[in-house]
Amino acid sequence: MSKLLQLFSKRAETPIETRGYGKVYLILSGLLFIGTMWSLFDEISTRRPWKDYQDEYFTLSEEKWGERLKEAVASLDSSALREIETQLNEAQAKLISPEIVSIKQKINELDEVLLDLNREFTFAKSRGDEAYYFWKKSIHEGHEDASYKKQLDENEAEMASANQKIGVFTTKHDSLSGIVLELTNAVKAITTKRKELFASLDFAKTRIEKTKSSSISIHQVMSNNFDRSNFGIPKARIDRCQTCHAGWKDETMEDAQRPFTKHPVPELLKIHDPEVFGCTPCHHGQGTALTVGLAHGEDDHYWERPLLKGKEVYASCNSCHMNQTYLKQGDRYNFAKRLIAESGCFGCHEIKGYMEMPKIGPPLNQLTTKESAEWLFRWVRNPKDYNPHTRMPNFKFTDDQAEAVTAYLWSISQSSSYHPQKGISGNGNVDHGKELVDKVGCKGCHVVEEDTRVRTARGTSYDIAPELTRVGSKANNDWLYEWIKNPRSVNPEARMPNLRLTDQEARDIVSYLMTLKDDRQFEQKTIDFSSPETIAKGEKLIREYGCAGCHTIKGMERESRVSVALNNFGRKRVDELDFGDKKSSEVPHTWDDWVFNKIRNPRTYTTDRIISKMPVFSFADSEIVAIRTLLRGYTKELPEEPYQQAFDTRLQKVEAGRRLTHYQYNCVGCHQLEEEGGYIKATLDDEGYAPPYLYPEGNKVQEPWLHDFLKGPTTIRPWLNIRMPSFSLNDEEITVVTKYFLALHKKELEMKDYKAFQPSATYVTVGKKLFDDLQCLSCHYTGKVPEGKTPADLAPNLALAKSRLKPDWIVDWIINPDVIQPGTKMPQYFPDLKEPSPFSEDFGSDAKEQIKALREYVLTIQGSK
Amino acid sequence: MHNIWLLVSKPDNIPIVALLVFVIVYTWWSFAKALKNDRQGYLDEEKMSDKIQVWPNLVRVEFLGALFVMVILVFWSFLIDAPLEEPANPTLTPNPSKAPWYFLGLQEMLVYFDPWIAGVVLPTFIILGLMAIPYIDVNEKGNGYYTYRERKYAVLIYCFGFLILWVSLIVLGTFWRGPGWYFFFPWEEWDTHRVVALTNVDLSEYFGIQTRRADNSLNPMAIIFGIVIIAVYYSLIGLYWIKKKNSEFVKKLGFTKYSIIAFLFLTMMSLPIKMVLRIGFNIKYILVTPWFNI
Repeated sequence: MSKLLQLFSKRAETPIETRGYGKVYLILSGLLFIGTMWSLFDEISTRRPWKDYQDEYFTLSEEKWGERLKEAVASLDSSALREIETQLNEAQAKLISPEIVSIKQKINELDEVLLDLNREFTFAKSRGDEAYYFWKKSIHEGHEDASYKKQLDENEAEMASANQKIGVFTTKHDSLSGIVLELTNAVKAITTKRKELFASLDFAKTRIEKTKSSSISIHQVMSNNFDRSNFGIPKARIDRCQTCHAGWKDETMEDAQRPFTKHPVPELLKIHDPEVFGCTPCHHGQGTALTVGLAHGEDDHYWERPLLKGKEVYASCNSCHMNQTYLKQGDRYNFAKRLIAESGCFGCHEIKGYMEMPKIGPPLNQLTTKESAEWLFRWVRNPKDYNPHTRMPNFKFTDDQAEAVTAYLWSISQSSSYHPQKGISGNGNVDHGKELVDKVGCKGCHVVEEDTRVRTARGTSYDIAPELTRVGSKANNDWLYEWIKNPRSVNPEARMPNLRLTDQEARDIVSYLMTLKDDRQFEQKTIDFSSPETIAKGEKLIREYGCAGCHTIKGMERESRVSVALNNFGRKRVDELDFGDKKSSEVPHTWDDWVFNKIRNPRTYTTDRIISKMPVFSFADSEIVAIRTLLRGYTKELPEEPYQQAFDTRLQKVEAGRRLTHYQYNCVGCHQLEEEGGYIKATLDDEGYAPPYLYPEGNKVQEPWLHDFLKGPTTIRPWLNIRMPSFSLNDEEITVVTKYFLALHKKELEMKDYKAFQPSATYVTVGKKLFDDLQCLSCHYTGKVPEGKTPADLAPNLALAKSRLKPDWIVDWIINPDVIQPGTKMPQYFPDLKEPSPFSEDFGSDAKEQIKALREYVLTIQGSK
Repeated sequence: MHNIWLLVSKPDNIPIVALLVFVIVYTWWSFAKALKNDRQGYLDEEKMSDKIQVWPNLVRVEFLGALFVMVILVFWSFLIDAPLEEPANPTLTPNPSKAPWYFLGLQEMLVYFDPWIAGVVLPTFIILGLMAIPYIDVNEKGNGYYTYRERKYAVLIYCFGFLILWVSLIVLGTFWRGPGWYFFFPWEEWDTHRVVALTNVDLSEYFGIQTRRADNSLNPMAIIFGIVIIAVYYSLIGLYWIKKKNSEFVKKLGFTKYSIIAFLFLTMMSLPIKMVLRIGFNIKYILVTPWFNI
C-alpha cells in the first residue's frame, strides 16, 4: 500500500510534460478492448440462448431422421427389390436387343426420309405459292399468264405425291416406334415401382439434407391488431415461442425431451393454427421474449400473464368462448363450466354467459304443504346435515337466525292456494314400490339409499336432484303422491317430469319412499311463527344473504344479485385481495392460494370488521381447482374481432339446447348427448337396457315426430324398463331442442312435408327381396317383439320408420352405422360402395341404389300384431 | 438489511449512490484545498510559475479520462440492464410515484408547502436567485482558487443550500420515503397498506384562532394572523438593515442588493423552518387564503 502511495507521490513530483502516460493508456485501452470483446460475445452468444436451442434441435432432428433412415434401410424389402431389379434388367435388356436396335435404326432412317420428304413438300408449296401470286397478279393486271398456272398445278401435284409418300412412311414409322414406346413405358413403370420401394428412404434422406442446410434464425408469428393495450390502442401479438420450441410440429419429435416435444392434440391445432394465432393466446407468457425465464414469466415479475402450466391452459379458452358451456376436448374447462352452472354461482355473482340461466333451487312459496316447520328449521340451519350431497350450501346460521328465516318462509306460505288432496295415498305395496324406483328411471336423477353408482358416474361431489334416502322424514304422503303423479300440478315450473305412473304405481312408490326415514334424534324445537319481529328479521336475513338468487320467493322476484361480479376476477391483483387475518404461512399471498382457500371455506377471511356472507359449499379439491382455472380465464381482455370465434346463430342454438338438456331438465342423466351423459347406464347390467344415444337425432328423426314425441312420449323399445318421462315442454322449448339437435349437424330447421316422399314400386320390390335376404327381422321387428332375445340383440320397430325417420338418414345409416352410432350392433352390409353389391344384381349391382331400395321398402312397412 | 439492498441495487438508484459518493469526495477535496490555501497564506498554484501547453498535456489527460469513463460505462452496460417495469396501466398508479432524482428535493418540499409555493414559486426563486448571483456578489476576493476564509458567507450559504437542502433532500427522497410518501427507515420493508395518523393543524389554531368557521368559510382573523406572521418574518430584513447599517459589508452592498440577498436568504430558510414546524409541532400552514397557502 505504501509502495503504491510512494509511486504516486514520485509521479506527482515529475514535471507534467515529462510524465509518461504510456502505462495508463495501455491498461485502459486493454480494458476497453476486453470489454468490447466481452460485450460482443455477450451479444452474439450469452444473451441469445435460443441459438443453442436451435442448434440442439437440428442435431436432434438429424439424429432422428438418421434413425428413420436406418429403419427404412432395414425394412427395405430386399426380395421385392431383387424381383423388381430383375424385371428392370429384363425390360432394359429387351430395349438393347438386336431386333430393337435394328428397329431403332430403321426408325432413324425413316426419320431422315421423312425429313427430306417434308422439305420436298414445303419447297413445292413455297414455289406453288409464288406461282400463284404471279398468276393472280397477271390476272389483276389484265393479261393472264397461263405459264404460272401451269407451274402452280405442277407444284400442287408434287405436293400431293410428297404427301402420299409421307403418309406411307409415317405409318411405318409409327408402328415401329410404337413397339419401342411400349418397351420404354414398361421400363418406366418398373422404375417407378422401384422408386416407391425407396420412398421412405429417400424422404428421410431429403429431410436430413434439409436439416443440415437449415440456418439458425428467429421464428415468429405476428397477429396484427390482436388485442389492445391498457390505453385501448390496438397492438399486434408477436410470438417467438417456435424459436426454441422448434419441434412443435415435427412428427419425429413426439417423444423428444423438452423443449422440442411435438405439440399434442393435433385436432385442436387444426382449429387454432399456431401459424395464424401464435401460441400466447392459449398459453399466455411473454411471446416477444427469447429467454426461458422472461418468456415463461418466472424472471419477469412484471409480466401480468405468466405461462399457464399443465391443465391451467384451459383458463384461456374463456377469452373467446365465454358464451359456451361446452367445448370439444375442453376437459377441465367443461368441468368447471358445468360446476358453475349446476352449483348456481350466478345466483349471487354476475358471471358472463350465465345471466339468463333459470334459478337452480325450488320455489319457496308453499312449503307448509310439503314439510314440517322443524324439518325446515334444521335444513336452513345446515342443509348438509340432512343431505350431505345437496347443492344448497351451508349459510352457518345461528339457531335464532334459522328460526327467523323459517318463520318468514312459513308466513308467506300461508297465502298459497295449493293444497294436496288428503287421504289418496294409502295402501301401497312397499316392495313393488322399491322395484319401480329401481327400474323405472328415478335413478337417472335421484340417489336412493346406498345406490351411488349414478353419482360416481356423474363425477361431481353433489347430486342434481334431492337424495331420497331420508325423504320419509321430510315429506308427507299426500304431497308426495301428487308430486310424483304430476309435478307440474304442484309447481308449474317444476323440472321433474312425470313418469306416467298409474295410481297404484304411485301409491306403491309413495309407500316405499315413506319407509325411508331419518333415524337420528333431534332436540325439540318450537318455532315462533307469530312474532312479527322474528318474521321481519327473517325477511331481512333472506334479502341480505340473497336467497332469491336461487329460489323464487314471494315479494323478492326482482331482487338483484347480492355479491360482486366475477367478469374480471382473473385480473385481480394480489394487493387487491383481502387475506383477513391469515398469516402468509397459513395462506401464501398469491392469487391461486387466496381463491383456493376462499372456495374451500368462504368464511375463512372473516375478521372482526369484515363479515363474510358467502355460504360454504363442499366441493372436492379437484372441483375447486377446476373452478379456479375457469375464474382465471374471466378477464375483460378479448381478442379483436377477426380472431374471436363468432358466436353465430348455429352456436347460439347449440348453447340454448345445451342449457335445456344438460342443465335444466337433466336429459344427460339418462341419454348421452355430445360427448357426455348417459349416467344411468351405471345402474344397468345390459347395455341393451340403456336409453338411446341422442347425438344423431338431428339427422335422424322427422321434426313433426320429435315434436309429438316430446309432447307425449310413445314406446319405441318396449323391452326397456326405464320410461322416457313426460317433461311437459312447451312448444318453444321443443323448438329449442329440435334446433339444438339440428345445429349439432350444422343443419337448419326447415319446413318439410315428409308425407310427400313417395317410394317407387320397382325400388320397393327390390327392397323387399333384399330385406328378406339380409334377414333384417332377426333383430328388428314390425309387430310383436320377438321372444327369447336379450335386449342387446333387439332393434327398434321398423313400422315406425315411415312416420319417424328421415328418408335420407336411413340411407346414411345403412351405408355406415358405426360412424353414426359408435358401437352399434347393426352390421355394415355394404362396406365399399364402389364395389358391386354382393347380395344381388339388381340395378347393375350398384350398392347405393340397392340401399335406396331397402329404404323405400322400409318406408312402406305397416305395423302388424 | 434486505430493503436497503433492494433500494441500493435498484438500477434507478445506483447513480444516486454514485452521486452521493462523488458529492462527498469532491466537497471534502475542495474544502481540503481551501483550508490548505488559507493556512499557507499563499496559493498552491502560485508555487508553480510555469504554464504548460494545453496540447498535448491537458488534452491527453482528458483523453485518458474519457477512455476511463468509456471503460466504466461499457462494463456497467452489460452487467446491469436498464430496468423495465410493468406495462403502463392508466387505472393503476404505482405507489410510491417518485419524481426523477433531480426533482426529488422539490417533491420533498411538497410535504411542507402547498403545491403552488413548492412547485412554482420556490423553484422560480431558485433559478432567479442563481441568475442574480453575479449581480449581487460584491466580494472581489476568492476568484479562481479555493478559499474559505475570504468567501465565508458565500461558501456557507451555498453549501447549506446545495448540500443540505438540495442533495440531502434527494437522498431523503430516495431512501427514506416509501409508499404513500410516508417516512420509512431504509431497513424497513415498504408496506403499501401503512396507515399514519394525520393530526396537523394551522399555526393560528395554536393561538386559539380557528382557520375555518362552522360553515367552512375562511376565518378573516386567521388570514390576518397569517399575514402578520409573514410580515414580521420578512421585516427582519429591515430590522437587520437598521442594526447593521453602518457595517462595511452592508454599506458595500447598498440597500437594493442587500434586500435582494436578505429576501432570498429568508425564503431559503423558510424551508428548514417549515420542516421543523411540521415535524416538531404538527403545523400545516402559516397562512391560508383561497388562492394559495404558505
